[in-house]
Amino acid sequence: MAGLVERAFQYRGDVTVHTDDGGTVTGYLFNRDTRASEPFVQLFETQTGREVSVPYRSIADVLFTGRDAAAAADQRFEALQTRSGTERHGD
Amino acid sequence: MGVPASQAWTVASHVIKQRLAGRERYPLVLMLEPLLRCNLACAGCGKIQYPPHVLKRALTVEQCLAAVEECGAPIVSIPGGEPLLYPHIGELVEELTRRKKYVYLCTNALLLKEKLEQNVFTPSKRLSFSVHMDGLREEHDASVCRDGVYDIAVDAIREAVRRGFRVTTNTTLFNTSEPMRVRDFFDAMMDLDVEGMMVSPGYSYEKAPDQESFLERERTQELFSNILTGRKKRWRFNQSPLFLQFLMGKRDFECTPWGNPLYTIFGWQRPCYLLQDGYAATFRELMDETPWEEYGRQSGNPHCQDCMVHSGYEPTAVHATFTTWRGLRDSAVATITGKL
Repeated sequence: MAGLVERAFQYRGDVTVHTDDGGTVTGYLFNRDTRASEPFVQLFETQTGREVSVPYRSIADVLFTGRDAAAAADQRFEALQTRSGTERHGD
Repeated sequence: MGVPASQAWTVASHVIKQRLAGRERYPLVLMLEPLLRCNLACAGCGKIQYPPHVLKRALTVEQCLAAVEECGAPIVSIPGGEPLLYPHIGELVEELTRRKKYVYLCTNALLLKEKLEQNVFTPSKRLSFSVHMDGLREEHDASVCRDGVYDIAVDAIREAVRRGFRVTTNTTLFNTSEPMRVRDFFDAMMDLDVEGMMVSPGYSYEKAPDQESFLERERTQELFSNILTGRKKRWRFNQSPLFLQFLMGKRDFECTPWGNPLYTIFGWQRPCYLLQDGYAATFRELMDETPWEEYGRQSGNPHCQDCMVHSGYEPTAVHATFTTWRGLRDSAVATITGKL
């Protein structure tokens, strides 16, 4: 689970955290603290904007449900590079 | 000299006070990001790739001021995102200068002329616009991935200088930078009558779209040595000469990651302005509970090996200047003679 949480922390899109009581929290996971006495993650909820903390011990699963903004930026940059290359060749 | 005497004195007295108080770790510049939203999407930037609901968030002025008080650094740098998109930027800057902080407002200048015409800001020795300029027209527009930005920024710089504002430039160099073009760029900025320039190699953000253009350490030293050897006396830099010598490979410094702490919508970023290893709720928690020994070049942390960015090494240079006779002498000599 620690590896999955770490991936979610590095991910630049929204995730859905499933808790062992059957609950879910969907939002941007912006922090995780494994050194705290009670390790936790923090999210900004997508719909409400609320800041929510979830203890590690109650996390059952994490799904990558939102679009990866970093990957989208990569695609835009590649498209821009291709376009400039094409324009240069056209000159 | 690029830095006004009153500001240099403020920094010097802050360093001396911290040393007399026996503090091993203390901040020099608070990096305050009230929002992450930007009106550009630069190739080498890894700071703005977030979902829309995160980009819509912003700190309140009260949150910003509380962070400033908590941190206690004499200088506040406001990067982002683009801070001129922050709706309360005028109020924030006014509050900071009233608290006798020196403020660097880092902007791409797309909105600067408009804000000046709206009288959002008042000229002050404590306020400097730090305009993002990555080179001459061709290089800068390529770096920010939009044509026309260089001309807009130059126009805004002229207007800010005309109105009596302090204006500096901040420049990030990549492995595509050509030394002679950079030297021509320095001349062009001096012709605009900016107070001083800040230069730094780019940090290899994992999330930046362009992963090909970041500099490795040896290449950084070669590039800066080629640019700054035979430095023209008219070039004014708004940064420590010891830091410039470090970039040229003439000095070896270790990173001071706590020197320029970052407060953002997520909290206090660990461990530094560039690396995102998590967030602390308070400044005290950041300083006391971050495992600092895991960062910096000597730690062996792979993320730190090629980093020579000013946010980590300028505090080291400033510390060396004001805490050792040799550092003070070398800084004075470089400042007076203009030789690096």
